[in-house]
Amino acid sequence: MWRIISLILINFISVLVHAQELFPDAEPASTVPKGVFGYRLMHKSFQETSSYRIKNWYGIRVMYGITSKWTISTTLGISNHHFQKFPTDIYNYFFNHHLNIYPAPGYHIEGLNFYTKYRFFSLDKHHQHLRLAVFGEGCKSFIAHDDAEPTLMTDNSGVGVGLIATYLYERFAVSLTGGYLKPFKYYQSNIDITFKSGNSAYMELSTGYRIWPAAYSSYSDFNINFYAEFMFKEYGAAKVEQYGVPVDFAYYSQSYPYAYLQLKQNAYIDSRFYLQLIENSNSRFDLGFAIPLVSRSYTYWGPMFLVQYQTYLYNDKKKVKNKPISSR
Amino acid sequence: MFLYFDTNAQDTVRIGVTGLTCSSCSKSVEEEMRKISFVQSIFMNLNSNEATVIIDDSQPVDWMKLAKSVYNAGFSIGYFYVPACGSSNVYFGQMSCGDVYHYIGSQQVLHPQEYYVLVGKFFMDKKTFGKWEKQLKYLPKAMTNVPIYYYY
Repeated sequence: MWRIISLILINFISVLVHAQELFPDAEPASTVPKGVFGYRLMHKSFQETSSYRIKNWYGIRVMYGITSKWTISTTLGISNHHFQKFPTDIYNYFFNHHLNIYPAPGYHIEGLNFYTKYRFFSLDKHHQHLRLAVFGEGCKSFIAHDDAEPTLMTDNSGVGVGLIATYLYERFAVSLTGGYLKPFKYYQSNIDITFKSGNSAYMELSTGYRIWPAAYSSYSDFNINFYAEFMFKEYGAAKVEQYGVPVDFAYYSQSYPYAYLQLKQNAYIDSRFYLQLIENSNSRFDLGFAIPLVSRSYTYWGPMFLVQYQTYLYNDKKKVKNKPISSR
Repeated sequence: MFLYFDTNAQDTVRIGVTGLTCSSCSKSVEEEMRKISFVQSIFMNLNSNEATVIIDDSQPVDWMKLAKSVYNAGFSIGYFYVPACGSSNVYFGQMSCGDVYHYIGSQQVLHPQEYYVLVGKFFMDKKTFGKWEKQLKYLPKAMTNVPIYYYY
């Protein structure tokens, strides 16, 4: 059913030829204005089908424009996805922690993501622009990550680099992001275990369209944008070692298939659809959902619901009020 | 005649901002401009993306500073039309400008109530500036790197 809805939406956006670049999920090649702070509050939620538990992720992101071309941001994530440490019985953990017979992990600070982006090419024309940017990111995670898929959005320590190309024409926006992720090893001394997610490459295609208004009358016009984002991602198998000996979960693929799928190499295409409401040309509210299209990510169960709020804090050193010029 | 004497245009700058496609982008440009001391008011046309900036003529003006505010917001300039103002070379009109300006063409046709095209690589799109560079070959090289008035 979800796949049918996705295909209908894909057809819908292919017919439309117009959007905006305030992509809820992907970063555009555009940057935060120089000297401006912004923040974003994020919430993702899904039901873990195997345990019927609701899994939540909360994030707060602070961003800043160092120059007109260089942006930095940091994101703090809190979730009930993982345990802070692996338990002593590692096999029982990997086989059963997605079932409701296993204790729930509770909420923890997942980690900190650091992101930097540099826009190195701009071609601006009337009502259109093309921009290219490079980015790098790093993450320090404070939890025991247990998936083969690395995600640096706070739940996996590691580094990543990538390239973004964004094109806007009138009300339509499209952006292509290609990136590579290299997760770091997680080591836990009390049970002498090393866990390393696979290296990953991904490509993200994001499109957006401004539904309302067709033409602006003022900054207070309420904006409604629609976004569709598609992520192709591949990653290698997780490497688990305990007491210096590799743990091969493929051996348990028949008896514990989910543990095996969660730890093996994989490739998938994910889709995310959002409605975005913008108030006063600054504060934006995004509401959407994510569903798998081809294969799936084992880091969540679809559909995953996403809500976020973002605003820029303009630093008005000298605030100008629009007032009529004095007559001569 | 009425329009002729309604001379507020004398203190008004018109800037065509390129790369804008949404009101959020326009707002970021306007917020950057508002930080500048000689900017009195800004009226941004969200559909044509032209910023009309009213200048406080009690302050010294610096067009480059105004242009940079657009680039600081992450966008570019398609055209930059300015009123006449005085410089260290030429005094013309009510305002005093911080830069050195050179007039292209005959100064006899200049009029304080008109707009002038500011020529320079930060004041217009690259393609237009490229055309100007070809026309300005006869000028000393150093002079092509500074803002230049052109009768509009």
